[in-house]
Amino acid sequence: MRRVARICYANANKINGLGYTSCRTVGTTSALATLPRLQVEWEQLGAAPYLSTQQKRGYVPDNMSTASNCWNCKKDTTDRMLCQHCKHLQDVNTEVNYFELMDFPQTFALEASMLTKRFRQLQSLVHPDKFTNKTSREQSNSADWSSLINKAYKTLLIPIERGQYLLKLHGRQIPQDNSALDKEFLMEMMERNEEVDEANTKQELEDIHESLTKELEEKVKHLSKHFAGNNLEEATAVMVEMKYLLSIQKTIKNKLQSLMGS
Amino acid sequence: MASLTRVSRLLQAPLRRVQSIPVALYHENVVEHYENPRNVGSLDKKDSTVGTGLVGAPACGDVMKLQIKVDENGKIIDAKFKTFGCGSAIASSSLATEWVKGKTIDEAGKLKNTDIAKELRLPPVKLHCSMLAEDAIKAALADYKVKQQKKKDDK
Repeated sequence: MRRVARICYANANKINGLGYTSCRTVGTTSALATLPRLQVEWEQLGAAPYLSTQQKRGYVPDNMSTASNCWNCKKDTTDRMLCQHCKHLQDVNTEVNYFELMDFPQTFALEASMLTKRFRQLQSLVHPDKFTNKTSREQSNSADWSSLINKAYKTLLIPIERGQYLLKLHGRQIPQDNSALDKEFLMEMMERNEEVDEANTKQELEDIHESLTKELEEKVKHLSKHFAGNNLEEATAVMVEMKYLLSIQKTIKNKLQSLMGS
Repeated sequence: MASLTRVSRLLQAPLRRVQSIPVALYHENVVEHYENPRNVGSLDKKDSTVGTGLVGAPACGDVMKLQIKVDENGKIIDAKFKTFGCGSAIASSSLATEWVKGKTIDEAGKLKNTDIAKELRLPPVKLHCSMLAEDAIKAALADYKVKQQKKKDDK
């Protein structure tokens, strides 16, 4: 055991930023954990507190991205959610990449049904209903996990949200100001808005809504191509157009609702 | 007599309660412009004395068209707008058309979005609506100047 420990100690100098040792050893991890130098490194790399939830809870969540110490049994766990040893629910890191969380590659193209399946799988693990008899820390974590998974699901499911999230991951966003937009395009948007304004029957409005849906589907296909080719400029331009079309759809929905109501 | 006062007091109580409920999150200035918008409509785009500004906000998909009619002394004698978007955007453009009427093109160019936002008490999340209105005015003025330049070149 001692010889094994020494080999690993040497490799521990090559600890990467995530606190992994790259040694493969016959010895147990608990033996490694008792080595004083490794222990110190792990402590230094651990616990990056985010204040607001910390203030709420009164403890500091342990959230290194890959190797983590379970807050309950203190053992090494690679499972982000449930400790593989004691099955306790781990603390939440809200800065996690949504694609990683849902276990999808970071691309625009994804299948909605698979995403929904994955969403249901994850929720079945962490839903608060399953933690009513557990520790209060777990109950709190369960609520956090559940809402994080909800948010990730919604973001990745809706194409425009997914696109905007991908832009964010590349450090960009849709221009917030009235930047130089194609005058022709704006003119067209104006005319289409006027069309909706003048339409007064349910059928007319639904027809326009339907044609907008088809158009948006086409745009999503273009968007997929642009992201696949990493053409972020073109992708942004398509998303801006989608925003306008979605805005018209929202107007139609509101108008239909008020027509139903009256 | 006593019963009358009792009845009137009973009637007053619910009225007072109704008054204390906040009705909307929009300031009354915005609601006023939304329900009674001034200057909605269009001017003739092809008229050489008309400048048309067409702007849009990508973040929310709002579209705003603002047109001004300028006389030979460089004074704006008419303004019309058409906006598709939220109440704040409609109110901002409505207010903008009200304000530029009677101003010279130089004075109109000085109109700032902060003036509009202050008048309408716009919350931070709606400040971009007033910015859009300022952009619309500037676009309309620019379009007018381009047309005037063209007229001069054609002569």
